[in-house]
Amino acid sequence: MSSQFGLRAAAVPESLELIHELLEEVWVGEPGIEPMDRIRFETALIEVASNIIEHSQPASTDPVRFVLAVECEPERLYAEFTDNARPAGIDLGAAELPDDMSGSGRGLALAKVALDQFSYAKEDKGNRWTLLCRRKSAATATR
Amino acid sequence: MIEFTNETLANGVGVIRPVGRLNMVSAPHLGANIDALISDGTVRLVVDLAGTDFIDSSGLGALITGLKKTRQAGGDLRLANPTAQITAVLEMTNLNRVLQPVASVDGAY
Repeated sequence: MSSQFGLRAAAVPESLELIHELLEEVWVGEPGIEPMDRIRFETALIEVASNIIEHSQPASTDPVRFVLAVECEPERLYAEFTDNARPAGIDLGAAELPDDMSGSGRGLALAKVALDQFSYAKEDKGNRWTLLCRRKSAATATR
Repeated sequence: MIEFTNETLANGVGVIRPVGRLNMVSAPHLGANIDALISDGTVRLVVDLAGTDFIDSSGLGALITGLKKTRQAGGDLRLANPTAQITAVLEMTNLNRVLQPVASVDGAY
């Protein structure tokens, strides 16, 4: 059993609210998700969306838009962002937490810590991010 | 959307209460609130997070920048009442080492 949720939005700061609202639908539709799994997943999604919104460059005259697809399964929460921006070529291996007193530069490193699997791929016509969070309740049940 | 309700306690401590989500849209407003208090000479600050539903890395950045500025001015910035998401994010980023929450607004200093 899995349930799927999705949205398509402009890469503008106001779209962050749409992601929070989408996740609220997920939590209502799937009430068994542990609070800490929700926190990890939501935190990571917002960091990736913020990165797309802040750093994307349009590949053409079309404004940058992204599509977010979320899948909720008994053992995992999965999300995929695809966008039509100029391929960015991000190296997630280089995303490390900065010095404690640094005022910026934590976004992707925080997403990396929050998730169990995190990938970025440059595509012909945009960028693709995949985010996976293994559900804590599922991990406990399989022990 | 976020709102700030701020007050200065009798002991001169400035309290900032962000109500809503701290993200790339609202974090600059937190920074501006902190800067305004410091310019008024209020350098011992508490950010009361009881009404802050969510924080992202830009919100954390605004808190760290505020911490640095208050310390440079001879004061400090402390956190009170973090929600579960904020506590988790502070731990995931190791920022609980420098932004350790205090038990209450009144007991922050």
